[in-house]
Amino acid sequence: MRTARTVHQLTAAATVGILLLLVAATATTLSPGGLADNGPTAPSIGARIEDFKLADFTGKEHSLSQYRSGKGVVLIFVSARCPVSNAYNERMIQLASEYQSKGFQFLGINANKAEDPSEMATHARQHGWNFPVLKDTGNAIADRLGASVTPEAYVIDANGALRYHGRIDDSQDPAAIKSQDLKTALDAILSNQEIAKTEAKAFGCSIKRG
Amino acid sequence: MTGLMLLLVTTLLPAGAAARTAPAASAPAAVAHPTAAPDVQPIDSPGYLRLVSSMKGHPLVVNVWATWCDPCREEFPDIVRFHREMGPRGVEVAAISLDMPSALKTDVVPFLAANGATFHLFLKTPGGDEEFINTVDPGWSGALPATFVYDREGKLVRSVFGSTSFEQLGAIVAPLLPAAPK
Repeated sequence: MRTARTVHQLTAAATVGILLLLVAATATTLSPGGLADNGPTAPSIGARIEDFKLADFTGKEHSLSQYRSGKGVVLIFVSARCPVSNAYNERMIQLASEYQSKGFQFLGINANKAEDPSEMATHARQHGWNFPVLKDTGNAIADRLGASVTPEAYVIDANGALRYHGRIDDSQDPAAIKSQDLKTALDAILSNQEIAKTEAKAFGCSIKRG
Repeated sequence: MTGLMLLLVTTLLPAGAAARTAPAASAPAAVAHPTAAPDVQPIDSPGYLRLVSSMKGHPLVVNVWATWCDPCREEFPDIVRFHREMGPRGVEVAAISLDMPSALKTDVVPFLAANGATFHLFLKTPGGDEEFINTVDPGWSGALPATFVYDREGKLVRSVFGSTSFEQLGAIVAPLLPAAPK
C-alpha cells in the first residue's frame, strides 16, 4: 500500500515537473502583464525603417526606398481571408485614393503563410484595390516590423522614420467610428504637425506565420 | 425572479461570475442541460476587472475569441475540454467573444451550444476596444485568438497570443493548482 502510494506520489511529482518544463520551454518573452508569447516587437516611433524589397502578386518588385521621394509610405498588413481586414477594404481604398494624390504611397503586405499570390490577386481584383499588395514570404518584413494582426498600419515618412503604427480607426463598424487614427496621422504629417496619437490598437486576426 | 436577481447582480459583477454560487473546487463539474442555450453576458473593461477579482481563490483561464476567427473556432474544443477536466479541480474558465451584438443569437450562441461550453461566457460590448486590450494585457496587440491565465491571487501570469491547446493550458495551470492533500 505504502509502495503504491509512493509510486503515485513520484508519478504526480514527475508529471508536475514535466508540465513545469513545458511551461519554461514555451515561454518566450516577458510582457507587462506577465509571461507571454509576444513574438517580434515593433520598432519605436521615430526609428528609421530599413529598406526592403518585396514582390506584388504579379511578380513586380517594390522597394520602400523607391517611394521616399513623396510624403511617405503607408504599409498596411492585410489578409484576403480575415473578416476584420476585409471590413476595412473600402476604407483602405478610400484612404489610398485620397492620400496617394497627396503624395503618400500605400502598400498592402500579405504575410499570411496560407494566402498565395494567386489568392491575393483574385481578392485584390474583386475588391478593386488601388494600391499594390506585396507578398511577404516567410513573414520576414512582418517580423522586422513586429506586425501581428490584420489590418495593421505603419506610416513611414519621407526620411524613412516610423511616424505611426497601429489601427486604421477605432471601429470595424463604419457607423461607430470615433477616431480615424491613420487619417489623422497622415493629415498631421501633411501639415507638419506632431501626431497626437502615434500608436493605437484594435482587434484583428493574427498573422499566420510560416 | 431569478432573471431579475441576475440583472441586479450584473450591476456589480459580470453575471457569469456572479452566478457562481460555490467554488468550483468543491462543486460538481458543471453539466449543461442539453437544450439550455448558453448564458452569454455583456462585458466591458470594468466588468473584466470585476470578473478577474471575483475569481480570486481559483486559477482562471480567459479565452478571447470570435466566430469570425478560424483559429479561435479550431481551438475552442480544447478550451471546452480543459474546463471539463480542470473545472472539477478548481480552475475557472471564461470565454469572451468579440463578435458584434448582432451575431449573438445567429452565430455566437449556436457555436457555444454546439461545443457544449458551460463556463463563464461573455460578449464584449461595442466600443472601447483599445482600452479593453490594455486592461487585459498592455503587451497584447489585439490579435485573436488570445488566452490569459491568472493565478489564485488574480495576478496575470501568462498571456498566450495565438492558438493554445489543452496540453499547453494544462502545463501553464499545473503550478497554479493548490497542493494536493497528502
